[in-house]
Formats: sequence, structure tokens, C-alpha cells
Amino acid sequence: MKIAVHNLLSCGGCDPVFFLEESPEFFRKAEVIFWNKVKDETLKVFRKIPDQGIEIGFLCGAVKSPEHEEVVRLFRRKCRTVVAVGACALWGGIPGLLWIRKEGPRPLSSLVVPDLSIPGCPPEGSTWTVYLQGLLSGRPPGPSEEPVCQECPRDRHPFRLSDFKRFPETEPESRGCYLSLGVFCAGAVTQKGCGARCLRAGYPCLGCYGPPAGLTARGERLLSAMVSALVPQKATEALKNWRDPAGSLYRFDLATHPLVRKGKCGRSD
Amino acid sequence: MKPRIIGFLCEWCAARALENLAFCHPELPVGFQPFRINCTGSLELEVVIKALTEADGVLVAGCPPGECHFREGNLRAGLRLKALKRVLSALGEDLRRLRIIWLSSGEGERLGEEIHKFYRELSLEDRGS
Amino acid sequence: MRKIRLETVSRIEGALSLEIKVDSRDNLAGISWKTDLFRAFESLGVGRPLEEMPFLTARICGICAEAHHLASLQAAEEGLGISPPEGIRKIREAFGLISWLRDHLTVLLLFSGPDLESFPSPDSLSWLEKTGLWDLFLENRKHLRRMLEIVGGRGHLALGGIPGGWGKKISSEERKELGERNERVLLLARKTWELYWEKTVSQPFLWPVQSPLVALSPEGSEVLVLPPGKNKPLRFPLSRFYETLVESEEGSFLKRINLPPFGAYLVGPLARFYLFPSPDFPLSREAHQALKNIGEPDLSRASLFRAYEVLWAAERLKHLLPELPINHSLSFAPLKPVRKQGLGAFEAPRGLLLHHYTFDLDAVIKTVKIITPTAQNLGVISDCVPRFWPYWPLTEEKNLLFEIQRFIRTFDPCVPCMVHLLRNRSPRDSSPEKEGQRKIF
Ligand code: SF4
Ligand code: SF4
Repeated sequence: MKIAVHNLLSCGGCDPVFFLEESPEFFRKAEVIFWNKVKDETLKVFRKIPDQGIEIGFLCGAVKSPEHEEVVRLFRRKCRTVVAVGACALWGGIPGLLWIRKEGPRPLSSLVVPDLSIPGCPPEGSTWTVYLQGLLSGRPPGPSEEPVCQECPRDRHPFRLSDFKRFPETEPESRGCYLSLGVFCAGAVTQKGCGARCLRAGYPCLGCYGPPAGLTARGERLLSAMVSALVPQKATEALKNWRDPAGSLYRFDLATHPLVRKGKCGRSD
Repeated sequence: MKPRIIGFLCEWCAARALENLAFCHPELPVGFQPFRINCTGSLELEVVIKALTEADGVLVAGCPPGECHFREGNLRAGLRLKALKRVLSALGEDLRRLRIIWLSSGEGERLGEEIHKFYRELSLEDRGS
Repeated sequence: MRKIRLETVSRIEGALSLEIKVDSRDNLAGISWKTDLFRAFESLGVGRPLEEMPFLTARICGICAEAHHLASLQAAEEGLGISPPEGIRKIREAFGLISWLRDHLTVLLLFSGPDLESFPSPDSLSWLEKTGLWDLFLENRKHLRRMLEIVGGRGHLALGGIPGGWGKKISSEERKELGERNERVLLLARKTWELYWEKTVSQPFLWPVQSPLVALSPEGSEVLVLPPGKNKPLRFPLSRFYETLVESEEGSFLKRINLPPFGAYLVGPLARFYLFPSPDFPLSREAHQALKNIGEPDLSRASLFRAYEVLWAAERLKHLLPELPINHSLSFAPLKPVRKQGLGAFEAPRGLLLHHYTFDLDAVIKTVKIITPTAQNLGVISDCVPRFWPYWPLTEEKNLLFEIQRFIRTFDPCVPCMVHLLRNRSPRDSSPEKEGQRKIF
């Protein structure tokens, strides 16, 4: 099986090198046509491949420059299956926050339609395996409908809030759902699959697995939920003390926000 | 390009106010597009965002404090929209594009004035017509 | 004048292309590097809550995420006036060591391995297959990922660190598991060292170092600087060192980092070797001794020093693991800065890494400055290319490009780290390069 791999605007952390250990047999059998980490090849070689001549192309990272665009289109032409890997490829990722200043990257899906999208920043090894095996057996999985909360060890119960908090302001050993403590935990608007890693390491979910299937406007939904829980008399104060609204709602997917897509967002300073 | 303002009007107050106003054949600015909603409390932020991407401005009009048909829908909506404004300002949006007013069904004339005022503030008056 | 273009420098972290200008007499007339990996982390950090910085900055680089995580934690804690208890510091050290091991082993066995062979070199996967280390390498990648997961909570892109504490608890079974897995790592470390020693030691010296060597002192409070030809290092308090650094814009986008009065300086395994005390552990002590005897610092052997560090890190870890606290209790630092800024430093696999933040009274970030190892080494690379140019096979283009790449790879450069910190230009002074590629040299 011929494969190609490339990193666009990325930190290199989604690169399949990091998942070699998950699917060694796959990579061992695969014939790597293009992957600058392991081969001394350039795009020149890649351009000469006949269209559809490569079985699977893996693309990680977001798109910013004309060169990125060229590579994405090349991959779409040359590869029968294009796999988008990681939050940057899917939604622009953390660098998408640059849109606050009017100039950020776009997700790969704004250019071509990938055949498979593996979520996460980065995808966990187990996620990688599920998606890759699904693909190879002809049943590529889509996003899960369930949120991270399903995998979260914290206790959920109804709550009212008198203030918003940042997670280090909570009781360190508390067991209650972060939302009930006033923390903007993205778990409720994030698809499961990671095993709630961050929640098991003291953090709230920051939202790297993206929205569950069918959920739109996850940032606005999280905001609605939190504001609706506020005791009205305390609300004004709570909103005033709320830090980094854009980061807490759109940490990984500001690039896909309707206002950004319409070019209506961002200030120049 | 013609100006466009989307209005979300609560059916218990603002939408009625608009109906009352209509009897007087007022002159409303070009491109004002009202939507009747069942309570401002039922207005999803997602819809507000969508409206902001498509129109020059968005007007949300609901019942005055204490007069909500569903007890505190307007209060909730007020808080949510206030929170949304914080988000919009963090995103570098022009906050004048989202306007929230409270008025009762008898205040048709005031609604008309508010609409004109909104157009003026966004400098939309001379565009279009 | 002719131009030689290389679209992608292979076997390094990130995408980098190269253009070399050569005059009619084969003299080097200029070299420019281009990459479009610019992600402006220094500007997207602004406005973020301080406690999120360790998580966010880990995304600067997926390869040395753990190093950014730890440096960021330290910068945050300095600002908050907190120093974590001994046990937490040990957990963090273990976390750092495991990430070193994964990084170094990957670089040695996947990236620079084929450079041990002569031109034309095989690709990494077949080279690794030939050495017989493929299976052990993959097995160890698994071990190391699991170890990071046990210590930090996530196997990739660092997690666990929270200002004032560490969020992932380690159970006693997990600690035992760490020890068992580390034994296998140690085995690969030994084999890797032996392989590199055997293949490298008999090679001639090619690229002597003429720049000062710089490393963080082992206890982390000072920076050690060894000027060329000297054998006693100068010591700077960390903050003084940071303030002394001068950034100059070189070419269009590179910020070259100089240490007055020396200019460019080298960080990384080679620098550490000459600045750190000799180790107390049996295998690495022996390796250290052997390396001491081969002579002056030489860049062509940089990989050997990396291999030595693998051995050292695995042994150090073995020593450290039994001391890790079991199920420690969590603690968070209050978000009340005692200073308006914080500076964090960590010896990343590639060398000294600095994070400097300023923030407001609510611990929300105002400015971010990050100085990565690759950014520091760029000065040396750019000074060295003209120096070594005459020794390269200038008439054969393919061979020449291979040699240049081999040279660049000895620095183990990391492109995501190198470019994220270039200045984000404001939209006003836009240039054709703004959207597209950024020239580095
Ligand atoms: S919102 Fe966060 S803390 Fe609460 S249950 Fe979901 S993932 Fe857990
Ligand atoms: S808990 Fe949230 S941020 Fe953490 S890995 Fe899972 S989806 Fe990503």
C-alpha cells in the first residue's frame, strides 16, 4: 500500500511518527512515497505520481500559505483517501486564536473534503487505532455523539453559580464537575474518545477533540449553559471577572467560527 | 449594497408593538427584517451569531423587566446577550451591531424610533434606498 | 551565479526549504532558508490566563512539548512566587527525562541514523531495519509513551503540570511499571550508544566548534558559558543571562540571538557535555570517560553526545523513579502574581529553552517571549556554513545537498520551534512574504 504523509502548519505532534508504535505493522507494510521525516524525497517526486496513484495520504496541520494550499490540493489529486489528522487540520487548532488579530490559519477542510478526520490535539494513540482500523476495514468512523463527560471521573449534579472561576481557584482535591464549580470545562461540548485525559490530570477539558456529532455552535452553547446557571444578582459581577472569553469558548476552533469565516471578526492593533 | 437589520421581536411585546405601529403606516428604513420569536429567553446565541454574519446589525427586543410572559425569560436573555457582548468584544467585533431593547406592546412608536436610531448609529440611513 | 534549490530538508522536525547561491567560481554567495511554519505563539499567548500557558505552549512543538510545558510552568511559578515541593520537582524531572529519551532516541534512530552511512544514504526505515533495532525501537516508543502517560496523564503533547503542583497522581503499581519499562529503555539506550560509538569514533574531525558553549547549570539557577579555548565556564544568574541576550533582525525574518561580547553560541548535547559534571552512574560514567578522551568539541560528532545523553538519562531515571511520591496530594498556586513577570528555563533535548512572560495583577498574559534552542543555534549554523563550504563536494549537486543537510541535521534543528517566535508583523507593513513563506536567513 502506497502512502504519503505531510505536515502543513503544525507543531509536528500529530505526525504519524508519533503513532508508529500504535500501528507498526501498518507502517512496516506500507510503501512510503512521500514523508520528509523518513525519506530524502521532495515534492518534485510527489508531483510526478499519477493521479489517484497513492492509497492513503495523511495530512496534519492547518493551512496558511499558498504552498500549503498547493500541497493539500496535490494530496487530494494523488491520493484515493485523504486523512486529516488533528485539531489544526480539522478546525484550525490553537493558532486559530490568531484570528482575534485578523490573521489566522484555516482548517484543511476549508479547501478539500477529507475522507476521514481524526480528532484531537493530538489524537490519542487509541483514537488513532480506532480510526485507522475502521478505514482499513472499509468502515471509517465519524465523530462520536457523546461528550467527554461520559468518560469523566468527576461527579455531576444540578448546580447554580454565583461566580465564574479559573480552575486553579477551585479546591484542588474536589470531585465535582468543573462546571458546577464555575469553571468553563469544555467537556460537555467536546466529543469523547480521549478517555478524559485532562480531567484525570487535574485540568478541565480544554476541548481538543472538537464537537460531538451534530452539535453546532459549541462555544455559544457552553456560554449559554454557564450563564443560565448564574444567580441573577451576581451575574454582572461574574461576567466582569470572566477572563479570556474567546480562549475559553473557542480554544481550538475559532478558525471555523461563522464570524471568522465571514471575515467579520478580528481587530487590527 | 442594501442595508440589512435583523430584528428578533418577542411575540408578547415587541412583535405586538410592531403590529400596532403598522396601523399608523410608519416609514421604516429599508432592509429591516423582523422575526417573531416566542420569548427572548428562547433565542439561541447561535442564531444571534448567524444573524450577525448576515446582517449589518441585530436588534433583540423583549419585554421590560418583570413583565416576561415566562417569568424570567427576558432576564436570562439579557444576561446571555451581555455575556455574548463580552465575547464579541474579545473577538474584535463592533459591539454596536448588536442592540438589545426592552419595551411593552403599547410602545410601537418607540420601537420605530429605536429602529431609526439603530440605523443612524450604524450609518446605514443613506445606504440602499 | 547559479542557484541550488532544495525543496524540503529531510529527516528533521518540520518543513524547511533551502536556496543556495553560488558564484561562477563555486564560492558561496548566499544561503536562504524558507519555511511557512510560522504560528506566532508569542502573539497568541497574549490575553490568555497564566495557568493555561503550560498547556498552550506545549503546542508550540509536538516534539519537545514536555520541555515547553516545564519551562512555562517555571515561568508561571516565578511570577506567582511559588516553588513547588521537592516531590513535585522530582516528578517533573522524571517527566523531562522521559521526554528527553523519546526525543533523542527518535532523532538518533529515525532521523540521523542514515547519516552514519556514506552517500547516497538509505531511508530511515530501511536503515533501522538493517541495524536490527527496528523492533526494539518501536517497543521502546511504546514504553516511553506509556511512561509519559503515567507521569503526566497524556502520552503526547505534555500534560500534568499546574502552577504550584502536578495534576497527575502516580500509584505504586504505576511507579513499579515505570521502573520495568525503563529497564527496556536502558537496553535500547545501551545498544544505541554502542552503535553510534562504533560508527562515529573512527571518523575524522570535520567541524570543530569555535563558538561558546552554553547550558543551564544542573540546579537551574545559573547559565554556564564556556568560551572557546577556555576550560572554566563563566556563570551568569539566569535572569542576567536572559537580559544580556541581544536579538537582531538578520535578513528579513530571522531574529538572531547573540550573547555579547561573544556573538553566536551553541546549546545542546555537545555544550552540556563540556559544562556538566561527570555522572555517577556506571554506564554513563564509562561513556563519559570515553568521550572525554576523543578530544576537542566537534560538530560532526554531535550525535555521539546525544547518544551519551540517552544513556545518562535512562540511568538517572532509574535512580530517580523510586523517589517519586506516591499519590501525592494536589495543590494549586493562588493566581495572585507577586511579580509582573516570570522567567522559566529548561534544558530541552536540543538545548537551553527560555520562556519569559509578563502579566497583569489577575495573572493574565501581557507579553510572551520564547527563546528556543534552535533559534539560539541558528547563529552558529549561519556562521559555520561559509566556513565549511570549501570542504564540501561542490561540483556534485546531489552530494552537496546531502552534505549540507547532514551538517544541518547535526544540530537537530526543530523548525516549529525555530520559527514560531519570529515577530508577527502587523497587517500594515505587509509584504509579499507575509502570507506565504518566510525567509529565515
Ligand atoms: S463538564 Fe467537564 S468536569 Fe463536568 S462532567 Fe463534563 S468533562 Fe467532567
Ligand atoms: S479532556 Fe478535553 S482537552 Fe483533554 S484530551 Fe480530552 S478532549 Fe482533549
